[in-house]
Amino acid sequence: MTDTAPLLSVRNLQTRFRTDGGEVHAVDGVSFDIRPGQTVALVGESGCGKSVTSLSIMRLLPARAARIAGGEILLNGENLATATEQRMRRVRGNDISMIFQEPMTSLNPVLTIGRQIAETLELHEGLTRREAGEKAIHLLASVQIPEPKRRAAEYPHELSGGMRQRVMIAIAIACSPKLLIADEPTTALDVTIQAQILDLLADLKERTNMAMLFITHDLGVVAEIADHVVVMYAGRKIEEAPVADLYARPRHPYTAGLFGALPVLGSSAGGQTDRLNEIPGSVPSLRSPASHCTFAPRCPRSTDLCRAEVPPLAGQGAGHLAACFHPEPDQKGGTA
Amino acid sequence: MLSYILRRLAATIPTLLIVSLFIFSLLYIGGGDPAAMLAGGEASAVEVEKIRETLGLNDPYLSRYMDWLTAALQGDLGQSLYSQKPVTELILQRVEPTAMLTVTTMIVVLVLSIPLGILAAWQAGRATDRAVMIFAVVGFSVPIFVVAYVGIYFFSVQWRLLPVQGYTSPFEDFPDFLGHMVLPSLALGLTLSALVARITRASMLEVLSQHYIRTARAKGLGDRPMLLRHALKNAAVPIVTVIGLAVATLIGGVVVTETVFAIPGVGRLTVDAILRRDFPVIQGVLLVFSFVYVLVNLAVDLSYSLFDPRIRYR
Repeated sequence: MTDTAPLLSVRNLQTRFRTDGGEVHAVDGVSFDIRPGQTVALVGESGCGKSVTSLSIMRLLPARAARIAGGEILLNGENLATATEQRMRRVRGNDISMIFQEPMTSLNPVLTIGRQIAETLELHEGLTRREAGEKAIHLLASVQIPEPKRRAAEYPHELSGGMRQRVMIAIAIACSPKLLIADEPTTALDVTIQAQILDLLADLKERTNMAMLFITHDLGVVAEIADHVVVMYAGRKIEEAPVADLYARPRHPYTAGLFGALPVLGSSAGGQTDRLNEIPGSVPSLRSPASHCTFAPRCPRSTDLCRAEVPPLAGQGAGHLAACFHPEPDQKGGTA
Repeated sequence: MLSYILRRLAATIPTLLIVSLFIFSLLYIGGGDPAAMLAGGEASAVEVEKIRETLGLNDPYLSRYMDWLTAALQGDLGQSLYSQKPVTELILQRVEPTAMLTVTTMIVVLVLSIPLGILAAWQAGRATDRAVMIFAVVGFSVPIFVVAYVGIYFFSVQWRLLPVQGYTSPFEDFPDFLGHMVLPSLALGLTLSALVARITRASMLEVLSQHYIRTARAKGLGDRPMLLRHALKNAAVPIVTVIGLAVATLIGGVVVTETVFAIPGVGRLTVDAILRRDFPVIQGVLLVFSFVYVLVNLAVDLSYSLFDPRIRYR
């Protein structure tokens, strides 16, 4: 799998926001590849830059507040970071499409569901209004919405959150994109609906060989859907690994901390409740580019070296990278 | 929907009753003696008193109001104290110029304000936006009569491009009608355009920050369909509300504008009636204005459901 050319290659991406207190380095030198058909999960807590990364790829950042200050976003070798707005309009919804975290507010309340799907088809595939309307009904059926014909004539407020997210997915896959960016698509949904949406996405991927960038803070979801995981902290990539490898051997103390914060079934046996482990402290301000390990203040393993230099990404086995001077030991032997 | 409209129309009756009582009382308290005006400067006190008696001005306040109201309910708004003609007829004669001025003014307002508001919201914070906002502040601050007289001075007197005053019916001579309407509509429309442009900008800005606009852009839509198809319809409710209010403001503006431009409309009729203390005419005109106002409000409320499918009337 590693020898196929990447579909999307993000190289040293730098995205900055202008604020009153100076520029914020929201994404600072992030790189990763996505191959055709592959699902890459981008993981991290709120404010770590994962959504900004996805909006950078789509070039949907607020034009006046944010800019891509450096790096490349290569889609089949074409650099989207410097592409014209006109070119981006052909890419968005056609080569790369996106679904969002907020199914309740991501659909236009005054246009019918059918119209909102058909619009993309008219735009990118040059279908007539009628053809697009018919295909929209098929798309609703393909995302498992019952009575698609009737639903197509309805407005978003007549649908539940899960249904709306299905409609968003129908819009996203309308033009058979090569890459689907899913920005926390299940965060706002009930657990049962979450599972349905994940199943639907997995099913669609299987049918279409579409690649997916899945953004989430939910490690449970990652295990279910991803092939490869990129962990971000404070705007930087701190660890990257194939999903099984990451779960078996997290090397960065932050990743290990995230796993430690997961509840384990049966851990509160005997009436005694164990507190979940937490990572102390909070995410640092991103005002200036890092001059040391940004996780050091919260890290149980940090040393003077961590507070003096930025740890480089170093190989930790096949396809496994971690930016840490003192990575977690391999826990396979059970010597914790 | 129909039953809603009927209920709303029925609800206008108490409104109009209160309005009429209010106007009646205001004129009663406000004073000024129509009998003296009619009799002229040289009339003796006895003569004036006689006229007052024949006009029924000496009857008690409430009985005068009840008489007027009973007649009004039968469609009779009384007679002008001055010309002795029925008030209904006087108003009907003057409706056309005022209706035409309202229409041309609203065209000016819509053509000017909505594109400007959209443009400003789209270019928020940039030079275009600032220019539109400066226009809005200036436009809103300059009184109608100033715009009117400055317009007359340049376009009519200096450059002789447009007629100074007067009115021609569009059914008689359309180009001449347009010529006569340009300055009054602009004078009246400028203030309102400024207001509507501001609200359009604010409402569009609010909508442009919504998630579904990001979705529209993520589909690859360009600015034009994003603004017009996705944003404007969502921004419409506040804009239509303000346009409704603008029509109401227009009623006041019409009085000034018709006076400045010597347009024989309802506004002029009102001013003349007030100057002559012609109570029945004032009363009739104000009642008609209030009714129009209530109708405009109803139309605005009903139009909401055109823009937003979540709004339904039952």
